[in-house]
Amino acid sequence: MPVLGKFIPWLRLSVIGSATYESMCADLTITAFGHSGLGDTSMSAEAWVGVVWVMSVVALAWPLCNVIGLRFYDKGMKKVSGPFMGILAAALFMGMMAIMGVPKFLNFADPVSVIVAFVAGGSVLLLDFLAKKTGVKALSEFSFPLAMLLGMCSAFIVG
Amino acid sequence: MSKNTGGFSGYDKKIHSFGMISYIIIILALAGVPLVIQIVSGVAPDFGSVMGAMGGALTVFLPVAVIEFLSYTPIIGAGGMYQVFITGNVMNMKLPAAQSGQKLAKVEPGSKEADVISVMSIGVSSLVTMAILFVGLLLASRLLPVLSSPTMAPAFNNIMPAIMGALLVPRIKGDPKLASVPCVLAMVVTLVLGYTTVTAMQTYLLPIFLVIAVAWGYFLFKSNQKKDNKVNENAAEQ
Repeated sequence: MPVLGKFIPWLRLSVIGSATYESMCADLTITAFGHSGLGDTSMSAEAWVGVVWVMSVVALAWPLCNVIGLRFYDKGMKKVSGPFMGILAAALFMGMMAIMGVPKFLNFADPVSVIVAFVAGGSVLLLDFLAKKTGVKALSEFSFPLAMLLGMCSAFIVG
Repeated sequence: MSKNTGGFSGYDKKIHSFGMISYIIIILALAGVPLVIQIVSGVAPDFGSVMGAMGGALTVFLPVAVIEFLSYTPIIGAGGMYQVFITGNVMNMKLPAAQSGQKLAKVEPGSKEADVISVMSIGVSSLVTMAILFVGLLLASRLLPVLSSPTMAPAFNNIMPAIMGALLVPRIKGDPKLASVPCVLAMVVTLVLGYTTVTAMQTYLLPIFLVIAVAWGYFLFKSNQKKDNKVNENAAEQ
């Protein structure tokens, strides 16, 4: 997104945005103004202002979901009382992790990423085990970031 | 630990009041940016082109926003939702921060304590992200050669697999029964459709997997209840 300057990408990426969504919005708008796409350095000022409008307004879809529905949804969730609430939250998280995380272990076209996923997962278990054996609680408390770093470091070795 | 017992507590009411007020301010500020730019620069883009691009983008992103709203709320709570839908980067930063915080505080997912821990964890994560972005902005010219060097590329290209591995494996170990059906199904879907197709369709597969996981969790919950009732009946008879 350097073609959009320094400040608009910084604003958009730090408030709501993700690079993927913002790049798609910008590309759609620039194309609608008759240019070739996001990399087009001959973009007109009208197209640039149009990009800022589209990126800013489309990003409001997420906050508007909260404004319109969060209070009602939260009230409904609070009525699910009793021991099932904990299982509900755990099940939802498990469902999310299954579809987001399991494919990462089966990306055979990129074996380095598969190894990274396994190393990171194994590292968490190892760190928790070492924390119990040695009594060093910090190993368990920081197991997630440490495992993440170990996984990324394994990419240096095998990559 | 206290369970959610139905209805809003004083804490919930404050969260929603503060969340709504801050959201209205943020929405007006965000919508104001392009308006001010247009007024100050005097450049008025073609309304038809802007609306066309906006409609096209909303067709893709509005369903994504609704699905993410329905999926994340039970996991991180209302306070966390007010934060993440402004700061973004939910899957790769805020959700791991909330889960890590809940694990460290040893709170039960879905409890009032878990909601509070989520708010604090996501808040700290957001502040750290903003600080790093600000430092990155200041030092962009010095940092860019390091961050984009081929030496660092293998690590930065594999951030998401590292995050997913570190989040998923302990969850499977912690409750293998609950993990069994969703994970086996995800494996089958990935092997049949292929990694690229599944990744492209993830946002639309997510609500299906959430329903399946909750249904499976409910089945296990009811099975355990029946077993407990039988054990209690046998103990009472003796």
